[in-house]
Amino acid sequence: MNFIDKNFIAGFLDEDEADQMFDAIVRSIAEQAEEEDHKISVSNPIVMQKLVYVYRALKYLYKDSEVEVSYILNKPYKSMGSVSVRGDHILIHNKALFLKLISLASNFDVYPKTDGTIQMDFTFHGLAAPIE
Amino acid sequence: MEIKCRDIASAVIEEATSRFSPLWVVGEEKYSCFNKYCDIFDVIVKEFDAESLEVKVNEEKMTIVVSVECIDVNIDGNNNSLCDLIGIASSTSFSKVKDGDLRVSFVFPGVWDRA
Repeated sequence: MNFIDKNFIAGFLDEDEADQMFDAIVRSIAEQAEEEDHKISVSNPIVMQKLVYVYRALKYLYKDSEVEVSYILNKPYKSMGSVSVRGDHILIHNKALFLKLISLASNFDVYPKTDGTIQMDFTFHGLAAPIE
Repeated sequence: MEIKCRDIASAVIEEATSRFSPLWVVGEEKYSCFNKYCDIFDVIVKEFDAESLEVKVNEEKMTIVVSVECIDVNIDGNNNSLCDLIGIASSTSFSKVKDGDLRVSFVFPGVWDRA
């Protein structure tokens, strides 16, 4: 029986087997990401421009409020960067501009933090790519 | 039976209308538009596995506030119901509720016309 036949012929025996296979996939992805992260990389200027634009736009939108805008580059991996907005209450002032900022990011997350604040992250992938 | 946003909204709007009358009545076109927004909220509730959905009327400003509570919000593409609602609503805000969940509130113009 070849590899394909062996692996595609049956469903999982039980949930434990399904969980184990999922964990193995997650570990493989993490290992691959760490391996890529150790390679020499070059910045992608277009992604960097998008990140800088989003950061400056959010600084502008929230300049008169108590909301804090910050950015992180090359974390948790070299290929990633993010712009964060943090505050007790975050109001979207200029919806057209805000939607444009969401469209520029790879991911947009909003979540409550344990200190009672809300954090909004605009995450960018492809900030740096390994030289092949 | 699954409760839809339209069901919750209609009860709240009916109650508010009884207080606004006789000077104000529900505008059919506005109400019909608002019902379409409610359908998007039903998608949002499923998409973000929301804990609750609340509809309130701000009687002073005659606006309708729809709030969704969930653990978090995540978008990884441009076409998303949340973005649709942000574009439609007069304003959108994010805050934390007492039990630790995230509350996303959308303010919409009222559905009433002068009688």
